Amino acid sequence: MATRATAACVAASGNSTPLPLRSSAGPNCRVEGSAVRPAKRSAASDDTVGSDWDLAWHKAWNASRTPTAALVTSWDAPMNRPNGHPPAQKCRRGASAASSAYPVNTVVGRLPTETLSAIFHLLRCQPEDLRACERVCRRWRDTILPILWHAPQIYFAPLLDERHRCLGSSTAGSSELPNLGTRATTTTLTMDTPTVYTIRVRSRPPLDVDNVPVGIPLQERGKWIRQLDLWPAYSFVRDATVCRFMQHCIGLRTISLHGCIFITDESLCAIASACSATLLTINLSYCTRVTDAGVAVLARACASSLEQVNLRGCVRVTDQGLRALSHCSRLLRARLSELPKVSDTGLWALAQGCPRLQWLDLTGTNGCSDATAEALGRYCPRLAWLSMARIPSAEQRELTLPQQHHNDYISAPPTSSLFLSGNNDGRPLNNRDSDDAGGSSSVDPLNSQLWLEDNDDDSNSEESMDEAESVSHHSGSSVLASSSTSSAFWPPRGQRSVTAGLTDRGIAHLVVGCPQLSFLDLSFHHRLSDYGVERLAQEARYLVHVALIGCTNASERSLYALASLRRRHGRLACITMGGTPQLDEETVRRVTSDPTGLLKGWRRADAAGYATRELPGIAWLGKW
Amino acid sequence: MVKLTSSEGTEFDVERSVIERSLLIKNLLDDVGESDTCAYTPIPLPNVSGPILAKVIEYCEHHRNDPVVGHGDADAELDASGARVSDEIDEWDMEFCKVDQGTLFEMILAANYLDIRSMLDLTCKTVANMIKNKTPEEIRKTFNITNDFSPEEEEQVQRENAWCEDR
Repeated sequence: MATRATAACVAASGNSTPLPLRSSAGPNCRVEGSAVRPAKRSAASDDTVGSDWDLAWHKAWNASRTPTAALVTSWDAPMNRPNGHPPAQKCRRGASAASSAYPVNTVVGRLPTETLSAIFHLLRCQPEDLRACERVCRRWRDTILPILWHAPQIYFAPLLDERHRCLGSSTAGSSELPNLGTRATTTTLTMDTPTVYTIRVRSRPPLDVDNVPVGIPLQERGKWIRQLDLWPAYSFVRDATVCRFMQHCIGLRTISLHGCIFITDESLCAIASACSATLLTINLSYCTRVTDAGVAVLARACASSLEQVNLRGCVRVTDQGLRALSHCSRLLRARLSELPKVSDTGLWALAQGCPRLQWLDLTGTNGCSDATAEALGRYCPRLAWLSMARIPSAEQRELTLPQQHHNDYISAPPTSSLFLSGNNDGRPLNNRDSDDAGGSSSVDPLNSQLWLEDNDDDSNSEESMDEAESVSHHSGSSVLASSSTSSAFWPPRGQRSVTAGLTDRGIAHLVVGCPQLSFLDLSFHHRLSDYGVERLAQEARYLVHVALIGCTNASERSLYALASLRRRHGRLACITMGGTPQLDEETVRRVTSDPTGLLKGWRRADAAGYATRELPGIAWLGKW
Repeated sequence: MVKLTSSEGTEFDVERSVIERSLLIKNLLDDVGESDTCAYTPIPLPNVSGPILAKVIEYCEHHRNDPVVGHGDADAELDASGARVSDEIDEWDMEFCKVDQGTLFEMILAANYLDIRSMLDLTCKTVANMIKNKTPEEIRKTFNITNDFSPEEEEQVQRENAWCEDR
């Protein structure tokens, strides 16, 4: 050991240095340390070397100056140690004193760790460079490891091609989950840092006995992992895999098990015991074997930390699971869509327990009723994003929606049944001063003109309309071509299998209780009428996007009501309506072309093009 | 006007609006208030030497009209700058950073101490650019770093990298 280390020293001092004192200080330090492990190196010797070096370095660097010793060393002083502090205690001062645990014999060595870390952060997108830096010296390695392993992308050799395909398509907004038979949105997007590439771990002989990729240095590096995404390997992930990861990854903030259909409650128990204090986000979408028991264990363990949860398509979860989840009082965002066994009692409990909720997706969940709306209005005043859309019955879906997910309307809008858009491009009237005073009217025409210019060219706008139709030809608009045909596709209410659904009463509760709503989807609530929409238009002044597809009782009047909301507050940028016999192409054309009417300046948007645009004022458009 | 004193005792006179780019000094002045005393009492900066302080003031003078980056979204800023680290640095900034390594690192420390976010970003970016596309050995040479890995540790890093792929 000693001989090898000395050899290394010699080699190191061979890297000749322009600064004369340095080469002598470096090896000294090394030889002393080589007898014992470096961590045990005597702090005192280190310190003297450090400050001697500082002094000498300063003299050499700027001889013209006449520094006093106190001032020279004080670079390190405020960050790492108070002046005159006994050096023996210095070493126990934790991470920020890290630089003192390494030989401070270079210019770089005098940088505080935070700054060094900031420099490496700048290199995050160049993993090769980070990898090179990792091999430079101990201090650099220790600073880099948390960055490098922050969010490793773990993938399995057999999935290599698949993964690349997905990565390629994910730029388009959605990616396919192979072989699962369901179309899934990009659940892989991480929450706080948008797809930052850090490190990829590949598994060549794919799996060991625990279904863990062989060769991942979990034991050494697991503690640095903050974000873990296992969906690229969804078909390999078993409970044993998750348990192994959880043995070592103790500081996880985000975990995604999207589509890991083999995992059961056992995995959730492992997660709950390993990262109960740190876990902020968990994605369990389409983990179909997960039951209430697992959710309950997780919710109890992470009650004080969990902020985002995705249980989409966990079909076994019932009201009990939601009741357990209601203990997570810090919950901000929840996706609880496609849960057929959930009713409004569970949702009531959830609303009661999670007053901070800002973002809630209940699409296709069986409990979208007046009671739920009332609960949300009563307990969740901060709610800004809400989808209570129902999934239409099978035959309607075939006719009106692009095959799978109604829910994906952002990435794949539900037909352009009718997609009116105002323009929110230039963040028009977002300041609070103007909206009360009706000052919006002064800005609105200006914005409208922009659109009207577009519309001046008649043939052009016709074309774009046609385009929009052709884009969605397989879905709604052909149906909408004549009202007589379309009415045939809307069965009488009695045939609905779902519970009663939302009525005007529910809407009233909701809009009064949740004044900050900016996104609202109430599609396929056929009992909703114009009165409800008018109420909505009166109260929901922060609304940016509203979707009312297939609300058979909402007519032209709703459209006008919403348009007047835009006129008053200037935020509403997108209305998606249609799929009903009452609002056909003709009506829309008529009301939007009326030059004096409220809908002047609104434009039928190309739904496909609109999908990729982000509307200002809406957080979290639903990429999760 | 504000008086600043460097570590050697050299005094610098700066306009208040210029030096308020440094959050440290801005907060200090805000605490003291508008009273006249601050105009005459020099602010001692024992951590910044004269030449470096001159550089800092030069930077602040040149960027006096830039919008100040809020400190609250420091993390967001970090993410954004991480994404476009390869972006070209402004020409003046580039010239500004053409100094020897010792001065550059002193400037980083000064920007860190005085809390001038944009200058810290700039100088860190400059260092990051010096690291780019180099082998570990080249990096060590550039910055005069001693390789203090034991052979075992080096082997471990090698082994790990065998399982990690860049693409």
